[in-house]
Amino acid sequence: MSTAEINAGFSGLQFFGRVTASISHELKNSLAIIRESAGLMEDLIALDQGDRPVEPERLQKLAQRINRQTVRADETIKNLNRFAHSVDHPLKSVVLDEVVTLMATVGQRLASMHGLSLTTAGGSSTASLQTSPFLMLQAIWQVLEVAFTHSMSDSRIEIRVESAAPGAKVFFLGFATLNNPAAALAACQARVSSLGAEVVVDPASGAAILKTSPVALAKNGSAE
Amino acid sequence: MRVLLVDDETEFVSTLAERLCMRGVGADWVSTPEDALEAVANTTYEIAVLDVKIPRMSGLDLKKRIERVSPTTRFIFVTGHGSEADYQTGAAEAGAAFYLVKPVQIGALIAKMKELLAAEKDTP
Repeated sequence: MSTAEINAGFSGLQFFGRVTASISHELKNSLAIIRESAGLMEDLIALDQGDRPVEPERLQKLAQRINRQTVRADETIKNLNRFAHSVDHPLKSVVLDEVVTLMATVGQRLASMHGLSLTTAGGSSTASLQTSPFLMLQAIWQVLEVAFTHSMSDSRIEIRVESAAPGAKVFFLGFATLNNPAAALAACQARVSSLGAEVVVDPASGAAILKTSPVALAKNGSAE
Repeated sequence: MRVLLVDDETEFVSTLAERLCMRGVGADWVSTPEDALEAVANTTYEIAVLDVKIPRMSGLDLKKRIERVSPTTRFIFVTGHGSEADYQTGAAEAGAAFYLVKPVQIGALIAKMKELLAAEKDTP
């Protein structure tokens, strides 16, 4: 195995680790809210057994909050599951919009930590593409991570994807709102080149465009 | 005891504050670093309980900013991450005993607060 292949493998593992760590944080937050809400219900009921009657509406609101958090945790786990299954097949037919939405959803918390507004143009492409789902996610993530570190208070990124046979183009609208977009672009290019992808900037809109080719992704992601 | 809780998960931090108040701890809460700095500028808190990761500023940076405004405030860190790197940094800043991982046991949190204040009083 060459050094480049070892590095590619490590980079993939690093990406996998960062994403799962972020998801585990999300789950911890939901669990913490559930625990505190249940604890408060117990506190209120204990008080009720004394001299202060508990209002049913109060308990109902806490029960609703617990329900909301279980829904949130369930969504988080579904995303983790989708992410985990992205390594099942080196090449697979994927719906482009689903790939982009998954990565943006998973990246939401880290974006928020860095003060970056991250959105997707939902339904931007229902087109399917035969590609490496994991490596495509990784390429998108590399650009997002650069955006996180270059974000400023008013930075905002909207992700849109379109089919560009035989590959795909992922647009990062608002890339120009980042701190030092030229340095951000250089960092993106350095990060995705080893994945067989490239990043360019559209001079008209200032959007960064990630161009992925399924053949290059498969070739660069293979360590065999 | 007057404490300030800082966490961007408002449902978590508001409920924790209410439960602490029920146990005789005067707890205020905020969800942003900016509001935390405003709170310490207006009120003297013996303890600040900080999330290690909050939007736009790390808990450790926030600690340093609070210390400039309120040098007597002591700190407890809470994290949802529990990563080794976070632990090493948080434990170095707050002391390993005052670095808690979510979900937090309220009894354990109050015990840590009392321990922190007792250690403060014992310091010559």
